[in-house]
Amino acid sequence: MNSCVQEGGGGARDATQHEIRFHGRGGQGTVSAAALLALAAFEDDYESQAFPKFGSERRGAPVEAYVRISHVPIRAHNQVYTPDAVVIQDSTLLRSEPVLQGLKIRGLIVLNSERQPDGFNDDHSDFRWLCLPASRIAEKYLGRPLPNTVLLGALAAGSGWVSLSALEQAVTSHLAKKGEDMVKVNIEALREGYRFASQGEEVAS
Amino acid sequence: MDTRDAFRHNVLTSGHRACSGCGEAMAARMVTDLIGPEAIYVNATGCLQVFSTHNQQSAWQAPWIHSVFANAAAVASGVEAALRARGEDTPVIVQAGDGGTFDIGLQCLSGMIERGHDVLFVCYDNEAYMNTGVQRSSSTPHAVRTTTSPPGRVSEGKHHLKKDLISIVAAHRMPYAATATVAYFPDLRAKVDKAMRIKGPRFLHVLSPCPLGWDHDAALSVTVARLAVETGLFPLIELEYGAVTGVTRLARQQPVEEYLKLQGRFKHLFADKGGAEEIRHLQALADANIRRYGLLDANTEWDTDRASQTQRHGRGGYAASSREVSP
Amino acid sequence: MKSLLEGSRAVAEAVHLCRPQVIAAYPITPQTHIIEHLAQFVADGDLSAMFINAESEFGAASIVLGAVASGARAFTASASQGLLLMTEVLYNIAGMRLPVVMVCANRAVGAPINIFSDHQDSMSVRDAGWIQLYVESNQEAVDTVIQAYRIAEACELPVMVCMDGFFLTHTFEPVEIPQQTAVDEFLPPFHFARALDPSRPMTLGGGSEPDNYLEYRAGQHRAMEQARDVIEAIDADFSDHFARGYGGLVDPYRVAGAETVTVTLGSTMGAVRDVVDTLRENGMAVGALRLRCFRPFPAQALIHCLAGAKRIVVLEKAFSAGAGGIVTGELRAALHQAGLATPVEGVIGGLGGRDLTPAVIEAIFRRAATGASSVACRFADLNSDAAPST
Repeated sequence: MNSCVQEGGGGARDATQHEIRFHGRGGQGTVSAAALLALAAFEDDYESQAFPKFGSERRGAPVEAYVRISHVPIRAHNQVYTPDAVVIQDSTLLRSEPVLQGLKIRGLIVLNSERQPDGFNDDHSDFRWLCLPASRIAEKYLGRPLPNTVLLGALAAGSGWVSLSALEQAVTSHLAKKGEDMVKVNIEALREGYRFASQGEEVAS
Repeated sequence: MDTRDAFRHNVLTSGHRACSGCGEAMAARMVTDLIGPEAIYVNATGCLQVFSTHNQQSAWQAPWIHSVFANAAAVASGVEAALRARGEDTPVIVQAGDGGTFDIGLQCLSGMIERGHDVLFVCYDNEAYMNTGVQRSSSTPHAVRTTTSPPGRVSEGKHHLKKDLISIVAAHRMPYAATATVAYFPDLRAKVDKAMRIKGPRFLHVLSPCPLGWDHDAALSVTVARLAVETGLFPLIELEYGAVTGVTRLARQQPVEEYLKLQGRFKHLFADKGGAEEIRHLQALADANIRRYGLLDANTEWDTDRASQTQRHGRGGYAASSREVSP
Repeated sequence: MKSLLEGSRAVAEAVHLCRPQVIAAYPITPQTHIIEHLAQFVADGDLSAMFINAESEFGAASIVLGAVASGARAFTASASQGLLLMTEVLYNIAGMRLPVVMVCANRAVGAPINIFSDHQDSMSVRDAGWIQLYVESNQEAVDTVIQAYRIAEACELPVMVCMDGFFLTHTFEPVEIPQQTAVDEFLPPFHFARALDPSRPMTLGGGSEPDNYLEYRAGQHRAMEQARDVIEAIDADFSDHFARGYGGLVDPYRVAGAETVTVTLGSTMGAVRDVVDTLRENGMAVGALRLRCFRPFPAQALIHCLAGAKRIVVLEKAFSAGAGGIVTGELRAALHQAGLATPVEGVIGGLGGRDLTPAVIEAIFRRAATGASSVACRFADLNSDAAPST
């Protein structure tokens, strides 16, 4: 515990904090992905926080969710405006939503796409693109194109902020209610995403 | 339920502040003494609450709670849930007027029935907001004079019909719903007895004349209630799981004028041609009830064993059947 | 051991630990997840309570009223329009001195209809006679629900635990759920001396006339006044049991030596703390205070913490149209009564879910520190271009 949470405290707070924004469509498990990432960070002994962009839940509509990962207790409950990384579960959102808004310089983009899209490279921002066919990979393991765990694996590999084992732990506990098979295939999908990203698929712009 | 010595419990004891001839006080005394003090009573706001718990006094010799006007059925749901959580089966009774039942309390009543709470809801229906000075309710019959449905140059009193509440309640397919009046005590007793032997939501609709609001002689409350039945305007029926299973048939039908002429609330109908037309309308409504429930038929499809205790008819001549009724 | 839980789940776990016998609720965003979790606990047989799906919030409040009057521990939760639909019953519960505990998942009130968080709902029922505790984090929400039953049952007053909708209810963060044995030790079983019971028939909710109504109401006020000490004592006792406390009535942060102090409620305090730290590092003498208990109003505790401040900003998420900030007005009155002339600036912000970002909060501090203050209330982060003309 950091003593600054108490009255009269204060002092330096470790500024190391990662903020991640997830974009997806209702039904793609966007909020679950955020929860899984926060759970994994928590498993790795970080403080973490996850929450959806507040609002109604409608299938197919654009959905956002946020994660904060920190060494010190997270006190603020504000939304994330300047993420260190964005995870985009549906590439069509690039055209309709401001998915890159506020992304920090050298920020990481994990995109569910066969290839890096044209027209989104900003010379000044120097984004790091990590594109992988997450829906196709998910189809193979889950039998349906639910890209969230694949992308989480890729994010873990691309960012190094959480360990693969912590993510596996998070998937195991989060999906326990849905049965062993569900846990198993999601872990396989997660590992495949991690492997894919580790093999140097990252494309610097 | 304790039936050893009804009318000695004095659940609603004397000294309360009801008007002379109050049909609701009479009905509440009958019903609560039939049920006894081993029950929890929940009251909606209304005349009964006001006259029985005036200013730090209470006429109740049983646990009794009043909250607000609309929520008696919901409060009772909570009481029943609390008892059930503790494994107790103390009966829970709601008492409400027509305002607290037909109008502002209908939503909570519907919720209570739909959720299947083991509660007997008793509505003492005096057909208007008597507590606040005789304003029209959805239970007020057609053409009645109230302070908010006054007859005037272009009006013959209440424009609309009395809400068919018993049908609405019975449409919940609940175990038991019945109508009764203060005029036929054995019938009322049979229905209370029967209701108390059934588990689940039950509803008893008791017509309770109000000498003040109906503007009749305070000595005639029972007579007026009897005529409401004998004209066909207020059929005495029982419904189980939505189906009519019991009907109190009439030896003969009285013309509605016999009922109307005793009450000042209908007086304007006897003054002119428009009024005469409304009397014919009321007669037609009574006749429709007679046909609908077979009130004059010698034998009806509803003459089931389960309804047997209310089969016989005749002025004040009802005896409760000793036969057990299975729920 | 801490686990990462959604706020609603955490609160549901806390309610579970308090062993409620009757739960009644009607769904409304953002309260829904709380009651969904409770319904699941009951459906799984993990919680042996009667779970009543009410036909409206009015019904839900009435059901818990009946349950508590019958001696059962009960729980409900609501928000926004739902809380206002309960209003008549809320007054009734308080007037009958029934120890009901509810969670208000704070949400804006329409029109225009808005499902997002502010404090207008609970502030609108501030006069109903309920103790109101506003929490900053999900850990505090959990702990305050447990405290709330102790407080309610000790004072025979209802308690509303106010937690910001979405900002807390829908956020996953690390929370320690206490052990059942520890909660049982802290919170004894509910025994209600005035319970409806045929062996001791009592009349509840009877009539009162001008000759005694005033005395009942004065008694209610007295009970609320006495509740301050109880709230503080129970928070202290909770701290002894669980090693977590929240300052009882008020929760000051770096007010020692602070010239400019921002007073706020609820989850906004987290960002305010961060901003205070940043500004302190920059040499600004700022501090903050969170009003944890709004009813009863802790005038003395506030004066005690704020006596050294040169200027105060109240940042609140509700207001009385035509009058201004509600806490602002009450704090000004308390300071005046204590003979303090500290200027208090009223800032309304975060309405209908508008995020009070660190940047907005910092601007409020910086403006206040210049001494700019007025009696009129001000809206933070107001976009004049977007305001509809009327």
